[in-house]
Amino acid sequence: MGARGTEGVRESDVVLQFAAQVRQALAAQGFQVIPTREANENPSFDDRSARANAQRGAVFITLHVASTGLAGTAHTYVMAETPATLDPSGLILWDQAQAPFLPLSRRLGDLVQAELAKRFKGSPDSVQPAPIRQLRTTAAPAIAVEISSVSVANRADLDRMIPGVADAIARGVAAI
Amino acid sequence: MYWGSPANDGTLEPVLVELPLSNDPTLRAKELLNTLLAGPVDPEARTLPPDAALLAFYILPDGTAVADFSEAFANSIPSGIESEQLAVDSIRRTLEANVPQVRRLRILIHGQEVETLAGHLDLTQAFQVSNATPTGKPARSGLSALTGPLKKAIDKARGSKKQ
Repeated sequence: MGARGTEGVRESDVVLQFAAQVRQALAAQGFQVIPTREANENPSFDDRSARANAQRGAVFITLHVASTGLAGTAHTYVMAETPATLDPSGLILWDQAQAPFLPLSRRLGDLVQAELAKRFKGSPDSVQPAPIRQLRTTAAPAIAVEISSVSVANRADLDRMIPGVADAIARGVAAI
Repeated sequence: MYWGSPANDGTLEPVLVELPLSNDPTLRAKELLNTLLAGPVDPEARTLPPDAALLAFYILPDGTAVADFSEAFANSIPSGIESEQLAVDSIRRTLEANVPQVRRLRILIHGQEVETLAGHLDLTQAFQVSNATPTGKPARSGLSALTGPLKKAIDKARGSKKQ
């Protein structure tokens, strides 16, 4: 269920709180938000992707809180470039579902990260590529946003990041 | 060797370490990975968990290297995209700098393919190590110039192989 800090902070709990506020911020911009989990259930990577892939015109955002990293920073990631194989039927291979959407994912990632960098000193200015399992099977513009970290001494330091992260994501999505 | 940069959080920095290395690419890679696992002098620069072990390593004819680590490798890595990527990148870049025969890297955990390293990084695909054509450069050799604690750690890792 993800990272756990020395003060007992659990990634899964913090992410739910982040997600709730991100949901509000996106709804305020007029977007419909469909969460891939509501509580402590743990759907598989494929189940989450399937949920996203069933929507038309969606973007996919996966939220994480890291065990390490410079506290108070936020990073946005997109799937690292992988060679795409064309299926003769014209269908997108499940394992390479993200490949056709990479340019849009990068654009979304840069927009979101630019907003995060304004709010959280020490955060990078642009999106970074990484081979993230959840993104690979998602057939939509898809990013991962990771906040540092569960290892903070004071949980309130993480909680204070929530509004800024939510606002940054909403503005990035609205801009794309 | 590529370890974490204490000055620049979330990045790797190359550290020049003199090691006696085999000319055989498989043995050479094993020696390098065991050195990575033994860790740097500065524990803050460590990228791989100290309780992990390399169970097996081999290079397929197409240049794909397969590194099989103990379960501790996955269980003890701090969960998070950045820390998981640093771990894999430190292995990948160390191999790229020293074993030109390795073109791709697959990571197994206790002989099994797993979906992720610690919840985020995709281990079902091979990582690109080098785009270059293997040149078969001779291995560097030389006297060990390691500091005391690191040399002790490497000697301990090799202990089972001593005659």
